[in-house]
Amino acid sequence: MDVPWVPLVGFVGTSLVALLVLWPREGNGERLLKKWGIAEPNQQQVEEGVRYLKRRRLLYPWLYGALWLLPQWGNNTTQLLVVVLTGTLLAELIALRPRRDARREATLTRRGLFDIASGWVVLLYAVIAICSAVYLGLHQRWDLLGWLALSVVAVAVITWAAVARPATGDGVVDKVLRTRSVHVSAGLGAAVAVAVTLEPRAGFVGLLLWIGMANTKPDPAKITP
Amino acid sequence: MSAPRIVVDVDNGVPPWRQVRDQLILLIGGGVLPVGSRLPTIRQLAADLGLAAGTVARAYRELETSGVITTGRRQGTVVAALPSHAPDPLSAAAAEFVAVARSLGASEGEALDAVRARYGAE
Repeated sequence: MDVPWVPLVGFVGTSLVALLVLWPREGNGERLLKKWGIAEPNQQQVEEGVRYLKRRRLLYPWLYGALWLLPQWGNNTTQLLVVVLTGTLLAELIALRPRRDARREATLTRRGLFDIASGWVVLLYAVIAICSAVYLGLHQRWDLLGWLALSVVAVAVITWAAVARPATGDGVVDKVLRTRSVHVSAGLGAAVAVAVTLEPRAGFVGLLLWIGMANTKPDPAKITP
Repeated sequence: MSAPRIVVDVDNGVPPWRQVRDQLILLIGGGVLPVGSRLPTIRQLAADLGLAAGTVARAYRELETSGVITTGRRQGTVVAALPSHAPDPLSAAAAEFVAVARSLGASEGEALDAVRARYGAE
């Protein structure tokens, strides 16, 4: 396979510049936590928020670069969605690593999917994914159905990992960031489902779904430690 | 009130399963975890503490054998009764304080100094 090295290097270079601009700092971590319901995050909480963002944003340039090695498919919006969804998936898988420090702490609160995520977000994503699968099946678009199935698996793994991964930081930040992971992945999954079903007409609708679901805040009662 | 928590130090010479069991006994006996409280699943607690599932399962099994907790298919693991040798509330409060102090990285001396300072302030 001929690799288009010059455009690839240019593409990754551009992504690295974007990463420098987007590189999360304390202000970003603080804004993230405030947006997700922690009114006055302390220093440790902010650091945890920054760490969470770094895990994701560090992966994006390399994933953008990897797109060049794949056969061209979809439009720019779909490719952006796939990159962010893959980045979220890898970040959650990395967070599954077991703890290695000698002193380890755990809260004795049971943690299930609906203890951290909004039922409406999960339900809406499930409905969209099922409707898309039925539509694509009826129209015998097996290639697109395959992409949809892959995205559903990715969202399912992210959701499982967001519930199952070891706790980090204090209890409130831990729950808030788990909620964010589930809501963002559901939003991305819904956007991918809409994009593969109605492309190219509905890319904008998919983005709106992503933004809406990804910004659905946790129930304050659920994040109380 | 913050959620009850336990701290395991894998370097302190006490087997982790025993640390988990003892802290649960203290929290249940002290009323921090009343009868009917739902405990995390073995898998969740093991992941959060970075322990093997079998380690936490052993702690739970010991408590089940003594009737302190029960595990059902629908409810999961639930506090069923007070331990027969329930520690006094002061001991339970001390256990909670030690857990928090450990999580903050405080040494025994620093934790005792903090307690003495607090007594001196009141």
